[in-house]
Amino acid sequence: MNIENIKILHLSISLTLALFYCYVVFLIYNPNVSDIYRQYYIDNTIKYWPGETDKAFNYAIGDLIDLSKPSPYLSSEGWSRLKSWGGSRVTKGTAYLYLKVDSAPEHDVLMSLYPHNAQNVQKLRSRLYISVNHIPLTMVDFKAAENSSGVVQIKIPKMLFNHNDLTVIGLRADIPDRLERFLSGHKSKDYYVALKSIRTNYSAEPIK
Amino acid sequence: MDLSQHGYDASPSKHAQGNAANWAFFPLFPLLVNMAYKVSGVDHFIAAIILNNAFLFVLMVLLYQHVKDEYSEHLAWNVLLIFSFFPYSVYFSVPYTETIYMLLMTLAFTLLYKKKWVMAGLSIALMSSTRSLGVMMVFPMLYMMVKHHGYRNIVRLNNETSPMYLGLMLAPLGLFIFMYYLYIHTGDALAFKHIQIAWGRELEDPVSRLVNALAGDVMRYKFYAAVVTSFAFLACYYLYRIGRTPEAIFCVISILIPLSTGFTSLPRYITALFPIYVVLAILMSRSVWLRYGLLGASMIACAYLSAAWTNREYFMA
Repeated sequence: MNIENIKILHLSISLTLALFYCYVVFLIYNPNVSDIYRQYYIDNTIKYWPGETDKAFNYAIGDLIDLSKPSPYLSSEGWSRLKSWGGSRVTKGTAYLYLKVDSAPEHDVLMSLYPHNAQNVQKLRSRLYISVNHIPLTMVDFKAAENSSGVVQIKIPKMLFNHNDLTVIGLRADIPDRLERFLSGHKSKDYYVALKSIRTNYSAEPIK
Repeated sequence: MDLSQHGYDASPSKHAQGNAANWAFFPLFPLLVNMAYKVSGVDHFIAAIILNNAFLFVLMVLLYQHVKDEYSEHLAWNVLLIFSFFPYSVYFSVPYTETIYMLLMTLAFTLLYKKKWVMAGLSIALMSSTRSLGVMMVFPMLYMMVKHHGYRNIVRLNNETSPMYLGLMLAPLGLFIFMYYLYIHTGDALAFKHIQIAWGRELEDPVSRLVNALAGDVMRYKFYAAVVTSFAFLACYYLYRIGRTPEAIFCVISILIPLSTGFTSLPRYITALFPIYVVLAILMSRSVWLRYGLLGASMIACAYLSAAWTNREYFMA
């Protein structure tokens, strides 16, 4: 084989390899995976792997979400576990709950947020800003809880729940900026809201 | 062993959370173990040990020849000496990918220095099917090509540059074939990267990670790994100073990338970088005290860490 032919052979193989690499790069950008795989492994939006199932986010109004245990409803961001607080969770930034209700709620939904312990929340600023599907809904203050257990309740209008699609509930802790924290002598974790669990039930009265 | 016996998992189900799969492990070594099992008929574990020790023998011969050709015979013996009694040398005899990876790395550098671009590209292709970091050899390869041909000549297509282009295009082949296979098998070509979430690896600025670990508790594994990493960086700088820029480039990349995801297994990854042994051998040749001091300390650490590996200590992951 003469030198010219070798050169052509080298270039042909190089070109073939380049085409193959381009095809693989195309496959990288177009994965053929389930939604749950994409959310956990690729987008990293959920905190726990529920397994290959399309029912991972299925949620029935009335179910308890135990925040001390791994749950597919939790976003990867915003939730953190503090062992010293008995495994309950603290919102940091915005924490999300991904819920898929199988049928459209017939009434407005009352969501109860159970704090880690009532005494603890008294020390904190203890405010949570709630959003549904990224639309701000309300703000709750655990200090203002009317019951001794410190449980606060939020009414979520039934029309905000997506039927057969994810309903995204956001909880953002009211953490002051660095300067304010410095002046108050508190650390950012002093403002985290530690929750033990979340439960929903139907609200008898529609929201006015 | 599981990978060589049963192949790649269909879906994640391992670890306590059930979110792990063996997709993180590259296929070349498990494939060779499976072939050795089929040929010899012995157990997969035994086949892997026999294979690895055969690779170790070839690696030592190649390492000796490479250092002898590029430096001196005296240094080549010193490299073999420190390599044989290095604290982490246990990894080169047990079924890990360190031996074949370092063997292919040494082969790739040998071929690059001999300007055998196509063969070097094939060696790097094999490296990239052994570990994800293997593909990073394209950077020293590019550096050496530019140094050899010059910036202007490299873009010209002629009889001298065509094997160079082919070598460069062959280099990532192992990684791309694996990614294509993963797409067919899992639907995700980057499954080997995405599955790392199961090992708790999170990206962070490597410099901050190193500084924080060095400023942390001296009794923790992180501190110890950070000290080893710092020495490895110093060795890279030394390689650069003595004109071994390609080796320095590869070593820095091979340390920075795993460091950005954590300290787990980092000392083991550093152990597979043969230019580090060259730096140690140069140090050993500076004085008799240094030679015996380094060798003695290395032997004691080698005995301790080999026992620790046998006892499955967490820091020997």
